[in-house]
Amino acid sequence: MTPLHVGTRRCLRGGSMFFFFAVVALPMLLLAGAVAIDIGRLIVAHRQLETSLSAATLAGAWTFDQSGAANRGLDTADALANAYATYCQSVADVMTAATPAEGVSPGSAAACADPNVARPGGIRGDSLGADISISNTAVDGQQQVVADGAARVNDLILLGFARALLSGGGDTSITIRAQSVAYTCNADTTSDQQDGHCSRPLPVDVGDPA
Amino acid sequence: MTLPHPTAQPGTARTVNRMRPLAHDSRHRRVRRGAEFLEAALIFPFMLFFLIATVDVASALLQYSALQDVAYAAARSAAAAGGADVSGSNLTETVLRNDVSHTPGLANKTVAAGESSSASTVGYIIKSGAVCSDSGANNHVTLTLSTKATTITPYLGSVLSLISGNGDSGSGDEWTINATAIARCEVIRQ
Repeated sequence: MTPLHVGTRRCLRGGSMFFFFAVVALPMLLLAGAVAIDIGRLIVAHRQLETSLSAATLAGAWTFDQSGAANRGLDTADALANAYATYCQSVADVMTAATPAEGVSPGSAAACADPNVARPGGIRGDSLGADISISNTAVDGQQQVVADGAARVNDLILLGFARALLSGGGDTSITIRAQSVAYTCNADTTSDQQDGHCSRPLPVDVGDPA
Repeated sequence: MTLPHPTAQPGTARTVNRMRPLAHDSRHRRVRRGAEFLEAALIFPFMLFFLIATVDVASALLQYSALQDVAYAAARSAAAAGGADVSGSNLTETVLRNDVSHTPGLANKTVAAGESSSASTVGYIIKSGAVCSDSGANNHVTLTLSTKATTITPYLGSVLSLISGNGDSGSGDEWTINATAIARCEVIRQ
């Protein structure tokens, strides 16, 4: 027995077409749309987080290289500070799809002034966090600047509802994580860049600095 | 073998031969086939809609991802050169033209300064670091790229504008994509 008798004259007369659209087609359309928006937001937020972390690690690697071969492996404080500053700036300007649950707004310059935005220790629960480190184990004279970052994507629709259901609370956010690694150049910076061993690009020749 | 017809009234002599197809069964099968065809016809537009919408969303996200990559690559090149617009050369536009022409999803677009005005252009705005300086906002190159993604699915542009959350506009079958990237200046010119 076909419960709805879809396609029969009786069905068409009985308003089952309306029932079909109201109960099957329209909700299916809305659910698919909600999932598409959620997944899209997660993808966009993840790309933005990756970009921010890449900027941070490369800034760290560059600062580390600037310290010179004599200080290699010793002067990491400046590199870390620069990496965090860059991450912070990137959070303020780039991260738009992930919003902290409370506190700073990543879309404003205040995010960069807030010391809680990016500090060692990973996500802070209410903001965008990054744990950036410089490894002490050099490989072929290069050292790694590693950044682990996390961001929270709030107010997801269907995935948020599923998350809230699974966690047993009202939390409709999902935390995403990403990592970036940049390599410092070794002592022979010029040849290293030309060989493409470190993360810094070859300088573009546009004339001498003023 | 003969069996009493299920609808036969008690006491009547009506019997049916189960080995022989009945006109009633044949008609029922035809009605069922018709119903299945109609169901398929009803579902088909929705399936087609989902399929096209999925392709549209994937295409738009590919463009977003490609734009983010290109923005970051251009910002890095500018940072390594000491600024996005130095020594009178339009470095950013040159780098962008090269990168865009080799990037899947953007390869057929042209590069122009300012906001993107159509789906065939990638617009760029240098927000900071036109010439790198040691301090202040110009110690980073900040570059924002924009382009428009057209969709086949009606109204999908408006839905996609909800995704990035940075005020991207969308209307009807068009979504304006913005991608921003930052790179720390590596050559100081001021």
